[in-house]
Amino acid sequence: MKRLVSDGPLLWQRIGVKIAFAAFVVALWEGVVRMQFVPEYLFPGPFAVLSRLAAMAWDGTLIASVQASMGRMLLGYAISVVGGLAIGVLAARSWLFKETFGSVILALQSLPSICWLPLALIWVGLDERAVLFVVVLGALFSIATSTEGAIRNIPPIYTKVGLVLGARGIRFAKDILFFAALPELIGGLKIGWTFAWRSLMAAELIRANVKGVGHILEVGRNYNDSAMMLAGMLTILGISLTVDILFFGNIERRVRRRYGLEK
Amino acid sequence: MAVHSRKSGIVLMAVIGLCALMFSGCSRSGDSSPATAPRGTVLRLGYFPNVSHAQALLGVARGDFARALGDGTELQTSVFNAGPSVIEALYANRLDIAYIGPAPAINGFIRSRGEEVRVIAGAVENGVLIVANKNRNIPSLEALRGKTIAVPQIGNTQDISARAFVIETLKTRLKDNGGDTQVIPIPNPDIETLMSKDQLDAAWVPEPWGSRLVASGLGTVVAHERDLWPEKRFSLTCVIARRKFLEENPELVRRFLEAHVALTRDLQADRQQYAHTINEQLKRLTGKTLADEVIAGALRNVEFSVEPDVRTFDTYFSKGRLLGIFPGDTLDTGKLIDRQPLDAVLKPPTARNQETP
Repeated sequence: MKRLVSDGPLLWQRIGVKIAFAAFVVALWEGVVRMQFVPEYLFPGPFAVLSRLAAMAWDGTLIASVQASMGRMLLGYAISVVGGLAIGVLAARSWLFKETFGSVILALQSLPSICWLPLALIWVGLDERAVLFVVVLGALFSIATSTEGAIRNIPPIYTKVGLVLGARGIRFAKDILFFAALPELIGGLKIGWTFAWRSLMAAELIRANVKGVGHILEVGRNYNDSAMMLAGMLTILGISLTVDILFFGNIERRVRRRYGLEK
Repeated sequence: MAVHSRKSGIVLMAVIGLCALMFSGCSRSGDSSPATAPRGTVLRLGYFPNVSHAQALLGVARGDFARALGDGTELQTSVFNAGPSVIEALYANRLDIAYIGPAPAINGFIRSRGEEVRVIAGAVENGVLIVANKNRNIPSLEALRGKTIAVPQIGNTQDISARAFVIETLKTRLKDNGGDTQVIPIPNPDIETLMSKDQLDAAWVPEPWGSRLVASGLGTVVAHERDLWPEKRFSLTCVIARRKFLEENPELVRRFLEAHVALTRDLQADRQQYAHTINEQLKRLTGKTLADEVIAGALRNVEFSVEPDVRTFDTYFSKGRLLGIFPGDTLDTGKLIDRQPLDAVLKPPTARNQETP
């Protein structure tokens, strides 16, 4: 029987197409390099880049860099999530807060957080804290504004029903607000992660003396080593994709299923 | 549906076509510089606001280079903090000739598989100070163990020197490799700021930045880098040319080198006479006013020589190999150093430069 709603491609089809397309991209890359629009030392091929990546994995710099960046990221992001959620809830539930700090937060959010780096450097010095500062500022305001939005977008019927059923205080926040806002909240947390990650990469690229995956690019640049720069870019891309697809993608899918938005 | 997918197909083709166009635009567009001047009539010179680039400072300030190149050729200058950025600009075809330290010159040569960089002359020897923060007790080089030492840029000549020193002489490990001694890259002007905030223990810097730290009362000289070298001398600055430029414009290179050799002789004869001119040029480039005495002191710490020093290049190559920066087992100095244009300028053998004035 022909089904009215198609299930879409099967898993093996999707994976097969992905692998074939990846092979195509690598082949295209190699092809472009071989055509020598630019000398190979300026735009190295996939083999040169992968062997550079392997060399960095072998001598330990890759793992140390990923560890350093992820450590910074997790700490900074954790601070942003706690702070951002608190500010967001306050802004959504208190008109006084919204009218005062709310507009300041909106203004600060429109300033790219990397712009804080020069100031951070003289405030807290040229160590880890300056980079952490930029990461936190990168995610904090975006998480705050999307949290506020998620709560404000809750259909009023949910909160009314909750109140009628007698939910108050913590119970109200935990059982009504949280679950009603969850799907949108996760979107906000994901955007927060992306902002924090971008700020971190910018900070690591500018501050040449902190270890990290952004620093691989800066070192490659200073050694005039384009294979190293591309290897660094691949590493950054790999981390971004892993977090986006494996972590946030999974959570989003689960939540959508729970809410009956996806099969 | 069919119409829709055909439409999106056309859009996709258009996007791919656009990308291809952009790509072809990315290919290196010959020698056309941003200026409108036709090919070969512009010489793009790179140098640093350092006393260790005295020939460039003096030659630009007095107009020696512009005069030597003649009316038909425009001199365009760019100023850099350190060598790796110079190589970057050279690879991108934005520079023709530059004053630079040996380590980035070697790196630029090796990375491009000998395609881009040629050393065409020597310029300055010695002139690197190892300065300690006055608030730290660092009486000797040995005391640098466990300290934080600033250098101008990752991969620049002082960075290689300092890191190799930590491993070879102090026999300890760098912080990056789990040790306790740290070499960190900080642009020269920021080193002074950070030392004044007491965030640095020492600096390994070319002149006049070393003398500046001493003159501003922030630092004391622990040693001159030359003390670490055999016969107490090493080549700090050389002149490099982009290989293509060298091949296509031998006459311009010759004229440039004539000016370079003449400037070197002037400085060898009486360097202090030019301290003020050099200081004025530094002021123009860095916006910072220094006492002429600081420049005079810095000039006493350097030597001038147009001879490229093969031994220095070999030493920096092995230092870079020790640090895992330079690939390959050997450095072809015969290919790296192209003496022909310099020899042509120095032709009358009696007029050969003395090593020391």
